[in-house]
Amino acid sequence: MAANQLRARDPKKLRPYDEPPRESRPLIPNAPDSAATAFMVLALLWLAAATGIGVLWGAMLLAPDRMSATFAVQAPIIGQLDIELSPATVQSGFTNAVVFGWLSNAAFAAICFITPRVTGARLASDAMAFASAGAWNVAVAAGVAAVYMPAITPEGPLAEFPLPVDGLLLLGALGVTLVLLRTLLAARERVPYVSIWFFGVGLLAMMGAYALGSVPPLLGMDQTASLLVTGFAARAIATYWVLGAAFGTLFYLVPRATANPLASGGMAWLTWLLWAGFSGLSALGALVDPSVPYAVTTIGNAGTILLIGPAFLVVANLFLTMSGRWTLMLGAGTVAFAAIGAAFLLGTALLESIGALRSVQALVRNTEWVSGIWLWASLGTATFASLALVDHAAPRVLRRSWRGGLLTDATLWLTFLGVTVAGLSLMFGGIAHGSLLAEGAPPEEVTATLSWFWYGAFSGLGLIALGGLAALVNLFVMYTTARRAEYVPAGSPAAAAGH
Amino acid sequence: MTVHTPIETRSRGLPAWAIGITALVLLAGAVYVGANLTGENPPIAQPSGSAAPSGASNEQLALQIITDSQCGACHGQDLTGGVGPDLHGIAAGPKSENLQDLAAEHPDEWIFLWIQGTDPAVADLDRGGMPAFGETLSDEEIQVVVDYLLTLE
Repeated sequence: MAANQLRARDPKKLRPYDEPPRESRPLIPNAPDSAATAFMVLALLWLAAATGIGVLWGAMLLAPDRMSATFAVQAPIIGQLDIELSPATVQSGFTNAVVFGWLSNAAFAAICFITPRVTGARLASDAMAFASAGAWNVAVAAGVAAVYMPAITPEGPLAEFPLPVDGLLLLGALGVTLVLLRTLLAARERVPYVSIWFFGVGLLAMMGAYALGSVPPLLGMDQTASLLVTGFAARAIATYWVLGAAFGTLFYLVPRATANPLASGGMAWLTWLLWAGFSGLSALGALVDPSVPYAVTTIGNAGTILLIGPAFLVVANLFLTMSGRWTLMLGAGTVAFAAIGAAFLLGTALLESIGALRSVQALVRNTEWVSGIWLWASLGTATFASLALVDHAAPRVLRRSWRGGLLTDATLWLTFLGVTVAGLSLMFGGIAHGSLLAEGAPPEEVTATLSWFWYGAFSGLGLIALGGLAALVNLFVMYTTARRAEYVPAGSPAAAAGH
Repeated sequence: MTVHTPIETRSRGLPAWAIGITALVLLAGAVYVGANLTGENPPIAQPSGSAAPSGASNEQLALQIITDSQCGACHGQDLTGGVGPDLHGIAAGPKSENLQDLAAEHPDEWIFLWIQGTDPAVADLDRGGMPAFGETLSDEEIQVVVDYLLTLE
């Protein structure tokens, strides 16, 4: 045996000049997929946090008086902070944490993971995307904390963050947008895959809508005008960003996970066109006030009804793509997550259409019906698309050989059952609430009847929280226990299978 | 090195059934718009957290509807009258001349019919600027308001 081999095996025999030079590590990681990894980990942390807040909101539905509290905290520099824990502030925290914490980080992870793989160009700047992740998440954390202090927060759905937080949040989104644009400019593809178009339009529309929702406090608008503007912006964020990112993610994942070609490229492009057009129209449906022409709101409602078109085309295209690989749906994996997301998409689109009818609106206005639909859209459709992304992408970005297991099963089933139960409870609770109020039922009867629905909603939200926790633990277990796997070279059969 | 594996498509074309479904959906949207061009929107819904509490009494609900429908603009903020008549003591009968016949023909439901404004029974009456709330409020909401008005003395 050679002397140098002996030396290599015995670290005590090493000389300083035998040690390899230390790699310099930049302050902000810039290795391939580092930004996608960061966004994915942050997304799952937000999922656990947001669903935890959701459980608190469910408890508040059951006992609003007992659970509500107001207290003051002395903070250094800022002074006294009045904190209010009420159904309104907790629901606001839940909604913002789900949309801007969980779903937006998951959408950014999808952009950072998918764009290089479908364009062939490395992400323009992992470091810049990483910095955007920092800006975005600091903003969301500050904003979600601020919603419990009504004195410093504006009013309106998805527009409750204070102005400085809005600026930081938009800076983070702008960073990701620039990274996406620079990557596309460097890419070989002249017309990128349809997913990229969903991400691009969704990102730009989200930034525009979010900026619009920040305008009312700046201009000192009255409450009605402010609620109209923020309602429009919130609807645009939901349809363009939350829905668009889910579409883009599913269009990438299903062909990859099934190793089948996408069933119809033409149908995918038609879906994109219809979604881009009808989402804007649908936002007009939020302008419900005597000061807005009736016909404008009607056109908005029609936009919501028309969104059933792209939703159906997505589901049809994806299920046709799965053709011949149906067994993949039997186990908890990317395809199963994607299929459940598609099913929720169809259900949500149908219920949104029904809810856009004037007679239904009159019955369920100011009830929890809207929250039920929102739950199915965000924690059903978009969440399952994002969980499918995590299932597919996490082993690849963390370079781990991982085939899931009990924790993946738990994530899928707990979240599926939870979203179904909580969504249906809130929707039927909303219908019952509207009917009881219309009949002039006494308050005791209203409270007693609705409590059954709120028990269902609370249980469902609890299951979702357990599912979110299981997803986070799954990622941790994967990183710490799974065997390390390396990238496969391009052109190899394994690469074609989806790396 | 970036792994580049473009996603293939089985067909670049558009299936005929997809075009048919798109046309059908567009037609449904057009029919909906055509059938809902006239009317008046209700007041904007407050943020869901500030929605009427589940235990809200009928009086609270009626007051909310009255406020949202801006009844006070004509009848006064305390409904004691303004451009429109005083609504206190309305249980005894209408104060406007043009509603006397309506009250005689429909003694139990004339207030409901008048506020609703869409029933043939009130079609020929001069409304004098009174909106037909049947276009913006449900029958049940109007009934809640009527029940409340009957308690005003």
